[in-house]
Amino acid sequence: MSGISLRSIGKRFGETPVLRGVSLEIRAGEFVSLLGPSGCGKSTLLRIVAGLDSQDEGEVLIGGRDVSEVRPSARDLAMVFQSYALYPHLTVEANMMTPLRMRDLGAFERLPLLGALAPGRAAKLAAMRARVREVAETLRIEPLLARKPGQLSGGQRQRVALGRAMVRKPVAFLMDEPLSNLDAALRVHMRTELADLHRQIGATFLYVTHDQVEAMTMSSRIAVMLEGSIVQVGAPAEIYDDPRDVRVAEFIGSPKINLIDAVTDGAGQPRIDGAGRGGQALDCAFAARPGAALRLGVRPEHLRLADPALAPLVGRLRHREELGAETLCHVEVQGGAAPLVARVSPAAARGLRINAPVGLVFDLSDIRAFDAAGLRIEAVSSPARAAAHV
Amino acid sequence: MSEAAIPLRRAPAAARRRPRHVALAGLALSAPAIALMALFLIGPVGAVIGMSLTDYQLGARSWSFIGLDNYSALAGDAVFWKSLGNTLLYAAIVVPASFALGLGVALLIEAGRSFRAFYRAVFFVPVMATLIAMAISWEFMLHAQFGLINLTLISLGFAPQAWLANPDLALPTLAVIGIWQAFGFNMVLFLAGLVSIPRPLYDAAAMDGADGAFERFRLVTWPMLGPVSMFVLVISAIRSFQVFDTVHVLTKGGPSKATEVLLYSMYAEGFEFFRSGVAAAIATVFLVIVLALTLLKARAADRRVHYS
Repeated sequence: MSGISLRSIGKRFGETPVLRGVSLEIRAGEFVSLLGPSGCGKSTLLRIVAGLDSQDEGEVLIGGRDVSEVRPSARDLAMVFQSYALYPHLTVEANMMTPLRMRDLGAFERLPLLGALAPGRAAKLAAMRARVREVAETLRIEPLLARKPGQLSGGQRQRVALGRAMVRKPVAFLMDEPLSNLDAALRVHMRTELADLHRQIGATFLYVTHDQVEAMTMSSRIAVMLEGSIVQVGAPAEIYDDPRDVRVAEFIGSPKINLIDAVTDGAGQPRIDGAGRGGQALDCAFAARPGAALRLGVRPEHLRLADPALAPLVGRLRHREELGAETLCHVEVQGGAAPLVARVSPAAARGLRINAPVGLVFDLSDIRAFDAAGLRIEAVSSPARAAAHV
Repeated sequence: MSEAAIPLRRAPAAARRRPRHVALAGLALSAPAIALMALFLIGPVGAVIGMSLTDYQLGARSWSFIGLDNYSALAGDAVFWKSLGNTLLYAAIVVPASFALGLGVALLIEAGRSFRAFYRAVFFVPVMATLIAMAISWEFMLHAQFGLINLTLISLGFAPQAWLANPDLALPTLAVIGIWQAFGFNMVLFLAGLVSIPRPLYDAAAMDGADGAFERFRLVTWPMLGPVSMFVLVISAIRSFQVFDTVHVLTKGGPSKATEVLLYSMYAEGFEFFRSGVAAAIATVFLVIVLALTLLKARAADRRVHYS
């Protein structure tokens, strides 16, 4: 078990940069997710850590050792692929034994017929089989050992791929979207299993995904990657509650965070254009120049329905999604680019008809403000939560 | 061929559930295809087998049914056995060599980055060229006195050889031409097979420690090429059993029957001696061999090289 350090990794395919000086520290035993939309470079970064691709700049350190020039198998990492990449002609047992055979048997011992003549080979093979059996027990795939991958379901293949990664007790596991080929129910189940597995074996996990739920539910920390850079690294709750960049705020959370355009007045207080209550400034201040354009982010669950006469935001109900435990109200606000989404209790939304006028209120402490470039602006003052009623 | 057999086997169960007019319409729609197949594919084979049971001679006004006499005559004919043996020997040289060369060249082309299209085209030229014309070029090159090959050997200080006149050399020489002509075709098939191997398998092999060329080949390439290899093997075998053009142009079965092969014997019996019945019997033997190879591929081998 070792930590992994990435130091200003750069990679370009032809003229196109895919990684722009990515640095990341992964502590031993941590479960870190690389989260980002497809094409953000997260898989390329993982392949560079694995040694399957080489970086143009920067270095990869595993357990403090620079492995930039070390071939993949000698880095002692294991990788689980999106397609599982099981050898289709080998049984589950033989698949899981392959990394052990390659590591523990010499070239002569691996020869088909002659290899049997090598002294000590039988003992080595018995030890490998025992190890495979042990891992199969952990993953509950013992009954499958004699089968071939073609005879397995997606979930079973997933487990075998995990097993093949585990047998060697690698210093770290690299996972490239391992759950994306499973159906929804199985994916939810495997999330729990993977998190359990991580707790159980305590190894370092580097997990690549575009699915924020996977990243949020399993990781110790998430590194959000956008356009070839890591934009923010932090615990799931931190990424969600305290996004440092509007792109992170938008990428994490479903439904998306609501963004409301505002302009600061002389005291740094934001004024929402063309909204209710005569465009009165909100009773909170941000560290921005007077007249600066702001984008105020408010999560859907932080918006509440209120009397239009009293609310800072007024609009009409465009659409209502009843999800059982909660209702999503899409409210079209005058001058707003996209409808705002409020996640409210079904009781609060009951009786509201489509096109009815709706007021929206929010706690001032729930506002996350971003500047024109998308960077987070800290609040200078905002009333205490209990008093913040707008 | 095996694919075509599957619906036929399932048909009776499905037909029971269908209304009569649907079955009739199906029959009517497939009738033209069945008629054409009977006329052009099954009919000629039946005619050849039928003819092999007669003493028909090309141009004769009458003929009679003689049962298996043609076959028993073949069984007692030393030339026929020589011809069958030569054909097997020719295949035994050409099949493994063109298989290995085709695979080797395909691997080299696939491993490299530059000039891929050029190499593909160059090695495929002998496949596209008309073999009769190419055989004549080979005849010039192999000429005992003025041929390029012997002149080269002499200039390098080696003894010239009578490539096509020496009974020990004639068949191997034809086999070399056969390999030259066939391996480009195998190469193209292997190239297609190589392209379809999923890349993640090579990544997995690299992570597992199989990162040398040989280990990678053994763990991923060779098993994944299984279906293609099987196809190449059977196609090469069938094509080398069909050797005729080079024999006809270069040796006419000689010297002293050293290059007598099945199809050449058939041609000689049928169109030089006009014994069409005997020729048909040889053709039937040839058909049985080809059919056996095809069945071998369809039955036993397919199961072992496909993994799903």
